[in-house]
Amino acid sequence: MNSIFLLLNLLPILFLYQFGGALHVELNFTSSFTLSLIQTPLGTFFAYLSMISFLLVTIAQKSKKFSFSYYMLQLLLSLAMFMIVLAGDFITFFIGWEIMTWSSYFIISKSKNIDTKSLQKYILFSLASAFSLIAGMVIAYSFAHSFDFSVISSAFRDMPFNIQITLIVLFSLSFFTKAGVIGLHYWVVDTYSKAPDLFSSILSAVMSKMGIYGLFLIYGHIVGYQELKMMFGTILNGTNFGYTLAWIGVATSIIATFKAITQDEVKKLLAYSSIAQLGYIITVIGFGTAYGVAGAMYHTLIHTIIKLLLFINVAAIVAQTGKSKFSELGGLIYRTPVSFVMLLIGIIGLAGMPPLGGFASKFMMYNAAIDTKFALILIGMLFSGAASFLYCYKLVYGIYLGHPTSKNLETTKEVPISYLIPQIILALLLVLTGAFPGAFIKVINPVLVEFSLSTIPYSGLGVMNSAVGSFNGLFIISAFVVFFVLILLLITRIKSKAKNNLNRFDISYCGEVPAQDTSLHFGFGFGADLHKIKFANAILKRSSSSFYESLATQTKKTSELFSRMYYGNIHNTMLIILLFFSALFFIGVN
Amino acid sequence: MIFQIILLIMLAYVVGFIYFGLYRNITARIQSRYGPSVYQSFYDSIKLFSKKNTVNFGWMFYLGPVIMATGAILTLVLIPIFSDSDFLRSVTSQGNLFVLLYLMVLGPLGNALAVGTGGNPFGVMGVVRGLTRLIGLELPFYIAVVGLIIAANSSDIVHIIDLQKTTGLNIINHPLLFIGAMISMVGFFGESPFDIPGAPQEVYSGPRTEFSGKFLALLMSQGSLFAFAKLVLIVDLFLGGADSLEMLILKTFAIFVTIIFIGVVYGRYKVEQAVDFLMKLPTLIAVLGLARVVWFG
Amino acid sequence: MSLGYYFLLPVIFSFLTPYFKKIGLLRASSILLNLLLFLQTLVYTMMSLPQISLFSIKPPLGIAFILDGYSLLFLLIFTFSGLMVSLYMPWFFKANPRRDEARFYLFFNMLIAGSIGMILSCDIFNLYIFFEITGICSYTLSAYNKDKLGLESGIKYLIIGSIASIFIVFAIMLIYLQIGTVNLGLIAQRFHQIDPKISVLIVLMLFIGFGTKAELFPMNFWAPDIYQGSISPVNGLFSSVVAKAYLFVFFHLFYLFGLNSKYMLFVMVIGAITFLVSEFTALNQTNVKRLFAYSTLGQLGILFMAFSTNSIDTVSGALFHLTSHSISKLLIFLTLGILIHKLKSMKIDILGGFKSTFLTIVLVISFLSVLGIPPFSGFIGKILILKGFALSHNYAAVAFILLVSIVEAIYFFRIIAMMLDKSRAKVIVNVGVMNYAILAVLAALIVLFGIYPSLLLHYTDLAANALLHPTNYLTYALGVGL
Repeated sequence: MNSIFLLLNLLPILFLYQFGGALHVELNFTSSFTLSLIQTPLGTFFAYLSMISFLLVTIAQKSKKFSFSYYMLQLLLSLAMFMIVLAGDFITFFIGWEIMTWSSYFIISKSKNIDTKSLQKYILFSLASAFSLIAGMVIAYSFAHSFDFSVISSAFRDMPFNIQITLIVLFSLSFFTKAGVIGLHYWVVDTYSKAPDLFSSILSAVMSKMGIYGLFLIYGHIVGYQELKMMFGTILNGTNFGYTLAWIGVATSIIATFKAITQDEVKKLLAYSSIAQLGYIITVIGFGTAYGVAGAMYHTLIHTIIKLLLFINVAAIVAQTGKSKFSELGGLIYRTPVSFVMLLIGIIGLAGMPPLGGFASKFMMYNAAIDTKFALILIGMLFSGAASFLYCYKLVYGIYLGHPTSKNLETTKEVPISYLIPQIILALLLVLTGAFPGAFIKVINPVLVEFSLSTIPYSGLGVMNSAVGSFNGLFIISAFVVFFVLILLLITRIKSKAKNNLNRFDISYCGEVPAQDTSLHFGFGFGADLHKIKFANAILKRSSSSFYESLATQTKKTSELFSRMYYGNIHNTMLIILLFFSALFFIGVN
Repeated sequence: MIFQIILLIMLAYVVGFIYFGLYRNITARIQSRYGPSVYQSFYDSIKLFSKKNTVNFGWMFYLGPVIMATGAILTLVLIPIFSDSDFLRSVTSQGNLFVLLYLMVLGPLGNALAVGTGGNPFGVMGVVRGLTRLIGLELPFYIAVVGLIIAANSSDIVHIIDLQKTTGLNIINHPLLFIGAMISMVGFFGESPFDIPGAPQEVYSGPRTEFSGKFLALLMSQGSLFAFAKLVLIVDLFLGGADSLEMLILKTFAIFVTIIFIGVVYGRYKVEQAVDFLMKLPTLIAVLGLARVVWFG
Repeated sequence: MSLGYYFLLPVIFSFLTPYFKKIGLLRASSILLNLLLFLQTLVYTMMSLPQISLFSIKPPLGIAFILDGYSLLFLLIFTFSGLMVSLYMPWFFKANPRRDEARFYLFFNMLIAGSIGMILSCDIFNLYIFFEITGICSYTLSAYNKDKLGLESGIKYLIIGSIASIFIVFAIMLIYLQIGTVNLGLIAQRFHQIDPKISVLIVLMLFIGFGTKAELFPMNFWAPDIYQGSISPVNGLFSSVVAKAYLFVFFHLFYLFGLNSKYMLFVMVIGAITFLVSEFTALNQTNVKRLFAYSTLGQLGILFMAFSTNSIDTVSGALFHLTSHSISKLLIFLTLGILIHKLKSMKIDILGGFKSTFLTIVLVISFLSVLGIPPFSGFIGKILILKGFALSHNYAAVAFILLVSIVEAIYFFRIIAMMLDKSRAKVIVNVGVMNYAILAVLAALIVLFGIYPSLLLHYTDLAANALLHPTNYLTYALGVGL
């Protein structure tokens, strides 16, 4: 069954490849709506991104038994996303959006760990996002008399200013919810951590990107960056709009980063990290400059690769050990060495360190901020980047390094090969994106043309150009490899008689010998210091949950209040009808 | 080019170790002691390199220090050493300031991996403290660097050096940024008051607890290479670079001594105290400097 | 072929009901009758509209049935619902054996006949008679369960129905006194001549009368009790036939009498309040029947909002929404009948306590459709309604509908989560072949109208046109050119 669905997942890719950029389908849905699929450079990028992600996750699914309905729903989900990114009008977009919502809902509901509350959170936020979208859609329709993107785009300029603002806010809210901007992220952590392990990778890597695609669509295509500039005016070298959005993004990434560090559950850490990384994208997406768009797109690509890699890795470990908390894992490095190396590559990418693709995307975003002179924004991004090292290290240490926290971890075997294949492919992609950042300029430039922004100069596959400097990814990665190999030879070949004869208790332990049951894993210690730091504590002790909890309580109370009216006394009902009639009569006659 | 790289590494190696010896000497004199010979660290490293290492904790224990050393050397070769010279210019032009900022963290990552593999909880405690401290420590330095990049409108270090010839040294143009960067530098050199990760008296010498023999030698040498690289970076950014070896030694030494003097005077902050402190005054100073660049530069 | 058969056939059948010796024959012939009515309606869809059937004298003096685009859509819904329920009943009676089965068939067919009569008759007096026939059948059907709840609901319905009738009778009397006719065409022509104060009184009485029956807030406090007390197929009929018939008449008169400009806002606000209160109340329910009763009230609220807008697109969307809601609610209540029988409870927990992939799928489809989620038929209706409100720049209504829809989603998805929750104890439920077919057809229609809406939109556009521009209807009602 896995192979069949693997083939089925290949079909959209082939389909897209077949059309080669010229896909244009129209279908008369009703007399007033036309469904249309149009291939734009931006949509093509996102389409390939999501379709390939689905393919990779399907490969990983071979290792475990999944039901037919699970595969069907996943296929439906992938087709819905295909529909979203290629939609040429809002009706198609919305239909895809909603099919995505409910098909993912049913997949999540198949998880073992899921509870009703998390499911409700997920679906209600998704629906709120969808309803905000539909409100924007119909308001735009009332001026453009069409749901077509290009028609709405050309009609947008003539709308009253308050309608323009309303539209931007409604669409932004909708897509912010999907991407999990802070304050609207209430559903993200629970859903990502409780969804089926492999499906979390889809949620984080692909589905959240649909929110990013939506933002691109609105800011770049429908409103247009030039129009945003004219509407809101400029500050420094950027726009006021971009500046406001950037603060939202920076706040998201800083807060989520600190929250990530203190999580004990592996998938919750990844969920917060996902929020933080999307925060970066949202920071630069509104800049309205070529480098802003390029940075956002590159980071979209990199984050998709990294989160697929990390979530598949964690899913494999959870499947193999049955543990999902840092305090229950540890010391797996020599039991599952390939997984360890893959996760290591993943976190080097996540931390944004130079030889890999993670750096190239961060470089683009930082340069975009320099370009617009948004210095404080840049500081914020660098700051949350520095804090993210902590959770990156927690991820690798908590699972693979240190000491095993229980007996069965010492006998764990390497994860099945089907989990490793997609990870190896993704790790290679991460290396390639780091070595050949210039190649991506060729992908970005058509999109920049689509948004009528200036293009980025291309000077070789390895070179990433930007407004304020360039670097050669190929050189850096090769220099890294050369130095690495040389030093490795130096340390291993010269006078080496090393034997692996140390067991894990042979450590300096204040002159004592640790016993079997001595707690040696430091997994719980991460983030403990953070609570003592005033700034971090101020972030950590706040939570949006109290707001949403009280909203739920208020709804419940209102509901109780209203249902008290329906207590079934027929006399009173008659009385109310008569009173209502008399009241209306007196109002009407006078 | 390869010859130049080898030359550079040797230069950095020698200078770095001599500086380290001087540091131990100066500290001793301030504390009314004699202290070891200036070349003591140099001898130590040669001795450790020639030792057989008989035990280890598996292959990651090798890779950690190697990643660390790779990071240090890569940082070193990407920083322009001499202004107005073609020395390794073809290499340095491949990177820029952002690459350096992130390469500088690669070392700590390698260290952290090896320490984690070693399995000593005290080592990991040191690493975590180090990473936590980094949250505050990077802040003034980042602000300073961002300020300079915006002022020069380029993240190319050579360009920043060249610009200082016409506009004057950055230390004079942007004193607030310099102060911010120097405060961070004190921490990057593991000096008081930001030396909590090592904390020899408290957590059994911190991250390096489990390393011996060649591993320790590699860690020590990368430390001195890295120290030299950081000094050159500060010189390049704020003191207009150096056009000859003497100037390079002079300028780096001046920065180095300043850092030592600061370090000797102060006591040690706890990690949360360090971050709280760094996020207040140094950050404020640096932000003021930055605001000057952005709004009035 | 005459429109009169719609009334005559069921009535004759009902009178013959007691003489059926074999219960199987009764069931079969009831199915046959409803099939016949449905087929006849299908034939009418292919004929030019409006159609008129006279009874001896031509209007405005005589009695006539007129079928225009507006009533055609409702006719389709009613006969289709009747067919589905009559197909469902053999299983129901096998599962819940009753000795007075014939009594059900008697009133059931009369109910269909009455409802159809209400939408076809073109004079207000006959309309009132059909109104009463439908009413009496509903009272007896709701009391069909002779237990405490059933009798309570029967009595309550009877009392409330009588009050509504009183208001309508007075309204008709006043109209007759003022204009001197009961023909809808003549009333429509002369309604504006009535003294404004009297006209307000008439409109209010009609509003209270039909509003009470159509379950509008604040006249709907009785409705959930009725749903709770009656059997599930009857719930389905109430929700998809009876309530819709009263709604039909309400808006037929509303537009015929030209009240749209004056009372639009009023009806819209009442609809909105109904929607709000019902959805919030539904959140707090523990009885499945009450829950879906409130959900029905809420949907009626949206429909009242949308019908009163006086714009063809919105009304067409509302009609689409009405159709898909009828199908969904029929499906839901018929499924509830199965579940309540198997699990012997009316607690909301039964929705989490059954194990049947088929039932889960059809229920989920109908829930998603009611919520207006694509690709199901509810979406088309909802987007058309919202689009219509937006086009008339009534953004407050758009925001209101969407916000309250989230409240609606809370309880629908709570049920879905319950159904998907594997940790609950599950009873395996086998659906009979016939029920399988019925529910599959209903679910298939929901999907079909969702992905191929033009099929239904053709009829809703026709209906909306006929409702808002009743010139053709008027010429026929006045008997011009016959």
